[in-house]
Amino acid sequence: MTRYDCLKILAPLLKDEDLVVTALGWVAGEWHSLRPKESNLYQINMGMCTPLSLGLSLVLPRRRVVALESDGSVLLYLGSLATLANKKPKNLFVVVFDNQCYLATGGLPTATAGVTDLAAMAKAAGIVHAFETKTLAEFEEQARAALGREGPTYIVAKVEAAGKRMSTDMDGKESKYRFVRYIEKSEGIKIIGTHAMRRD
Amino acid sequence: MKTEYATIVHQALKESGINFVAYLPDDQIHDAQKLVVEDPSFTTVAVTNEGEGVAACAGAWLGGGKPALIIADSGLLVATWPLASLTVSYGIPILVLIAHRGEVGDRANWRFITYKFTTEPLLQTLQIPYVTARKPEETKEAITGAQLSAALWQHPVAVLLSGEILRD
Repeated sequence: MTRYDCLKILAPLLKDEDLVVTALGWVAGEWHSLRPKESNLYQINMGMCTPLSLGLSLVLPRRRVVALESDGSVLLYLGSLATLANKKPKNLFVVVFDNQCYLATGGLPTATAGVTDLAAMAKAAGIVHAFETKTLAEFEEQARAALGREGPTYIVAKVEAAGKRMSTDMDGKESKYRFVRYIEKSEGIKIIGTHAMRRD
Repeated sequence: MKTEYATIVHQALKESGINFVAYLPDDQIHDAQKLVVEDPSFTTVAVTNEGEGVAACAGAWLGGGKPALIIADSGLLVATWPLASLTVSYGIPILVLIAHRGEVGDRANWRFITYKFTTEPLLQTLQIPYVTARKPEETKEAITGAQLSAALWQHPVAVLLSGEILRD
């Protein structure tokens, strides 16, 4: 299966208000092509997609947060598995698209092309609902289960080393403003303040 | 850090509106970290490395929280990649509170001279503005001012705690 096939299954399962954070690479453009919502935040750099999504899920506990991760990114900050397991955010769903290589930067293998098993590592870190999926039917079943349960779910989707060279046509700052303004609107809060308050 | 000094740090964070803290324990700052963790008005995340803490703080801000990262000099070295590629690049305001050792006259051993050479040059290189508080009476203003600037600039700002404020 490909990542794009999985994303096509995931997109209609989500509500408009579900927040989606993507890792760096073509996953951002692929997701944007399927679900171009303001509730998406794109292209979070290597290692940071999961811990950023954890911070987001902890401050917005009533919102569903979905992280679209990659094997190379997760491998950079493996400690974040332990942090996620211990914080147990009820509203966070992490999907790791494990293509066993650094696809966007030339395709050399990651550790999961060898003997490393990310789903087993996530489980051993203490994430109870950690699963590996190898078929689209398994992926859909696990994604539906994840969206229906309380507690973090960690799905490692074993996918082909293939991606669509799609772009979101926005840089990180535009993605930030778009997402933050959406959070302000949907939560009825002010995040970006441009004037100093009186401090006396 | 004396309990009364840890209280100053804790209260200054509260007054600044900080409500989310990522931290990795360190010798000179753990008393203040403990007060924050025990205060239910803060959401806290004990991270396994400081770079992860930067990302958690960034996510908290994007969701409407007011985050701070509480670390030591060594943690700043670990956190450089996310500070550069996430908070500086995107313009994400987080308060970075650093227990800073290695100043001339500090009662720290040979290991800490490293931080005399790394902490301030690194902040300058990363283009993270910072303020240093050495005395207890300077600390509140340093923390509240840094948080105000971080929010207004949409940029990380650091506070170096050094000298007397860190002493036991």
